Amino acid sequence: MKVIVSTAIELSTAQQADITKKLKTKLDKSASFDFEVDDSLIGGLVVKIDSNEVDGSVKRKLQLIKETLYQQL
Amino acid sequence: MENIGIDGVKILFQIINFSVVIGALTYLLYKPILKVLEERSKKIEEAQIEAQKALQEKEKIEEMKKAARKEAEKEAAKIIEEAKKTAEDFLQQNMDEARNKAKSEIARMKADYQEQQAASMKNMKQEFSDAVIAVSEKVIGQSLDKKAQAKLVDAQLDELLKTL
Repeated sequence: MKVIVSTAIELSTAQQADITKKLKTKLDKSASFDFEVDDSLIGGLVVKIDSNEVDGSVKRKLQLIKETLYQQL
Repeated sequence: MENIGIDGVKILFQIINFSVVIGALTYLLYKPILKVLEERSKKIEEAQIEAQKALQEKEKIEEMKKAARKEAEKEAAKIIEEAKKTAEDFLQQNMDEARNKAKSEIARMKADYQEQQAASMKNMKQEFSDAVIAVSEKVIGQSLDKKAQAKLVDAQLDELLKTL
């Protein structure tokens, strides 16, 4: 299992370790972790587990707000 | 009579002579003239009758002409009336058609206008939403320092762990 964690700013080693630890409690213990920086996310994080993606970024939140606004037009 | 100078024989002769002349005149002149006068009178009478007949014929023709004129006028009036009615019907029909066409055209234009207005308004709102989001992205991006970013990452991670 491969896990890619994307954030808007570069995380410290301690932060990366903390995230790895927390995720491993829910995932396969042998999962490998990669950390990437994507400043377009603005804030929050995106976790990609194999082909599944969980988007908790500010960019996604704003996107949801935008979609809601469009639906109410 | 001879004593007073009158000759009886001569008088008798004169009477006979006068009678012969009267008879001759009557036979040769009076009767033919009378006959001619009668014929002339008859001709005049016939002519008068003919004239009367002609007059009556003329009056009859006049009456016929008058009746024909009256009939023609009546017919013309009828034709004019029918033509007028046809024209009015045609005009009315065309006016109705034109009115209906105008109504539907106005309705269509109104609908188009409303549709355009709605599309324009929607477009404007979308542009406004895009602008709000763009500004929000910029403002949020600038206001998030490292500490806030870390806090946000932790919060989102906690949310994510709940879904796993």
